Amino acid sequence: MIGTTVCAVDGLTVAYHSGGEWLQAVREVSFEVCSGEILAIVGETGSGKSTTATAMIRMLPRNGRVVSGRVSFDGRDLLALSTGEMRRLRGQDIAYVPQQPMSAFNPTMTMGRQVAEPLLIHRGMSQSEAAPLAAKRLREMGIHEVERVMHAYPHELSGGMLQRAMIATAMICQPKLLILDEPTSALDVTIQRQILSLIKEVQVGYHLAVVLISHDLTVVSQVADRILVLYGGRAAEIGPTLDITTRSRHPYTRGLLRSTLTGTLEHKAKLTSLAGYPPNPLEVDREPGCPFRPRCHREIAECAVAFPPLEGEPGHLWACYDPEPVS
Amino acid sequence: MAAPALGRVEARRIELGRAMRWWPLLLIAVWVVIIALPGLIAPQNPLTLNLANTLAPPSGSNFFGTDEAGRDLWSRCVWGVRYSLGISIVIVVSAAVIGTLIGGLAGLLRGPIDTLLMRTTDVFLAFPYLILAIAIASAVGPGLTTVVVALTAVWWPGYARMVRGQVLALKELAFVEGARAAGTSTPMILIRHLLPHLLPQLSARVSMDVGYAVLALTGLSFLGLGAQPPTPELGAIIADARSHLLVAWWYTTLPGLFVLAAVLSAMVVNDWLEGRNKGELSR
Amino acid sequence: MSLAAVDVSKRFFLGRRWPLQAEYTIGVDGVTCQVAPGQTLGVVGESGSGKSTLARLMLGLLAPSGGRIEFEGKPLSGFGSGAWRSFRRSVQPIFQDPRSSLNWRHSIERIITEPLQNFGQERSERSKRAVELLEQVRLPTHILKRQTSDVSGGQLQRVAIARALALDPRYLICDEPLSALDVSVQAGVLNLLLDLQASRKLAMMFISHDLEVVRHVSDRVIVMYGGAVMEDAPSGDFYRTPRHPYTQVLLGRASPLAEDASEPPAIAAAEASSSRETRCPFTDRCPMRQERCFRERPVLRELAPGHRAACHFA
Repeated sequence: MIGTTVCAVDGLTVAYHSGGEWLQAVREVSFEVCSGEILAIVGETGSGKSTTATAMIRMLPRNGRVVSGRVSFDGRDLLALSTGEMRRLRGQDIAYVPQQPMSAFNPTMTMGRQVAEPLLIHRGMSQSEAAPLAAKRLREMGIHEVERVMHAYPHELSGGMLQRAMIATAMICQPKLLILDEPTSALDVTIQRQILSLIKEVQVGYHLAVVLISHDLTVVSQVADRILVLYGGRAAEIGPTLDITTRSRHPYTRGLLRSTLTGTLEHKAKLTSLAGYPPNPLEVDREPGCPFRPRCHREIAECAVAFPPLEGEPGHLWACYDPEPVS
Repeated sequence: MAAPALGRVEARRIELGRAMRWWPLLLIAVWVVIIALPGLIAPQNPLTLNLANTLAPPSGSNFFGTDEAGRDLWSRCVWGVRYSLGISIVIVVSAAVIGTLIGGLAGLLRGPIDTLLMRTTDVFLAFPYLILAIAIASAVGPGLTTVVVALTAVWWPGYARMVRGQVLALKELAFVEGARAAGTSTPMILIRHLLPHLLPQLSARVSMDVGYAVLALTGLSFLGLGAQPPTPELGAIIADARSHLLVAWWYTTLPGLFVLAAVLSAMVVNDWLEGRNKGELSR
Repeated sequence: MSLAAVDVSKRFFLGRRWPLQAEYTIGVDGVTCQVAPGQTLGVVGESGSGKSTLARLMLGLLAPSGGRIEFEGKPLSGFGSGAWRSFRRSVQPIFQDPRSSLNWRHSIERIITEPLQNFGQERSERSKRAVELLEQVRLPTHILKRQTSDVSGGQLQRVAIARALALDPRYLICDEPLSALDVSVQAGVLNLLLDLQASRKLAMMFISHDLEVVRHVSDRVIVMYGGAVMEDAPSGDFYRTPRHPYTQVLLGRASPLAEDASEPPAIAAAEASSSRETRCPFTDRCPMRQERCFRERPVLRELAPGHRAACHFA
């Protein structure tokens, strides 16, 4: 059941320095995530979804800066903490699972050592004390031959098993917030489903707050409780999964849902597709107004002037001057 | 849009970095002028003897003074560095061309040709250039040609190995497959597709090797194997200057400074090229 | 007159275990399939299934270790340079990631016209044709002089399609053409491919891990696992009545075994004693596997008209 707010992001704006100028990748994005729910952040190229996550935990690359905003966690503003304080939170209270499990592990260390590492750092345990806990977590995450895996190197394991190990590492200090960046994109279809249900199990079992980042709306709608749709660095729509998938109001969300195959289309018939292309991340903040304008069939005069405010019903908000009618 | 607050030091650093990006080009321009138009900076003839004014210290009319035959040292140095740098570039570029052809063929064709070419490369790689230079000098006599041949012969294997390694990796790239499917022939794949990807690393290496070549060339001439009198080559000049070291300190020092300047410039250009190439590796 | 694989196998040489035993990895194992003129053959499989290797075999970029690839009835292995030229004109690829499968040091125009250059067309002709081709893939002509980095992923895949169309081919081999694209752009590119097929009567081989898309565009579908064909059926039948356990897993109607699940003793014994050639490739994850699956490799057999599956228990 949905509990208290674990993390609240308010008006986050992030910029990158590239080619001599500052380009905003994320613009005034706000959302919150509570314990006991999975919030999915969905977006394509240029949406700013990965930047939002890395900015939240203060792991932006050297040329990135948070321009404004607040990230509240446990009553504190993460953006105002010292690097030492932030380091203590990472891996312990806030866990981050990066993209591509195969590249996220050190190829020269055994899995056992790597999964146990957060315990050594944050709880001051020794390797021998931490190993049984690591083994227990691995088993929890659906790995059967735990002994073999503990002594194996990353390249000896499949993508699915590495992702399970990654989640085990993230969960080992029992964090309050778990952020997963594209956890299923590098995996085969059959494994994707398994990993998604694992994430759901973990979330329920630990009553976690989970932020799940993905480019695929249909995939996350299977497990997410709420969905935030980003476009061109801005929040386009946010709401419960059911509302987003069946009663979406933003033309982009609608367009995305309509352009996926649902099995009811006649064989070889053309799909409805969104015109145009996602915005170029390098150019997305140059023009005022709504970034979705070039592809929107509902554009009106106001759209070019300023970005529409987020409004709507309680719990379901959208940023559009002329939203789609309820279908 | 409003830029985020940057520390003052950092902002300055970014600004300076941007302005300084292109100054190695300026350096290259200066050297091009020296090599192409030496008369512009050294109006005096480096070969003119003036026995009335030998071993004179630096003065208004002779910036670097004169040598034991009264020749203007400044002119001799300017013409000398022309030889040193110019011939070094010729050596290195020839080595690069030969090496690229051999290494490229070996990498693309593989099999017995690859083995044959690479073992030949290994033989040449094993030769110390000094011994080779002495051997050639004793056969055909010393001179700049001797030194050029000796140095090119031991320099090309390095390029062959480098290019072969790169070609082995490059030919697995996805667009090579696409080129084959479009009907592109193997030689065309090398020229049209692979060469543009080889050039950045090649040019960086060439620039660095020019620095080393200047040192090697100057050294061989110093030993008497290279340029013969009265050719003003920096190594030869320094060799002549040895016997006058105690009475004319400028005679050895100033040509030495020219060598230093040439080598350092090559290294600076190399640094710059490597820096520009770094961004390419992300592919 | 089609493009077909006849019992094609491809092994990749890994190394030599001392003294004389060579080690191989199997890419494709005894696959027979056909791309009929004007039709689409869908190929479904996950990573390691051999689908990309099959694509390269069909394109003549790899030579088979066993079996043969036939183009209009004649095997590729017997082709002279004239036959190869004709083959290259007729069979063109579209690869998964246009950013790596197109040379990023070339301009868009150069990329599109390279096939024409190979076949001797003059520069002025080529430029004209480049403009035509861009129009056919619905791209603005001003991108001709740009570099690939100036163009979005979806646009770049259209460039790849334009290049593939340059020689007016009869067959398009598409290896995961949508997978690297943004979701909002995939539908547009798919529609383009469908349009082109209809207007040019193209035959397509459409490879993807996405079952829904493959079913939608294909006339016939084959499912690959471990380098071999597990099921081969018309696309409607394939979805309505999947016969092979792997197909059922892909469609979400069954769950595969966990990657490192411990097995019952009988199975463990059977697994230890069987070699690759004598067992079904899907035994490692099949929820219905039995001892027989390890002893005897199932062959593709016809279970309904035109519908074949390789399973003892389908």
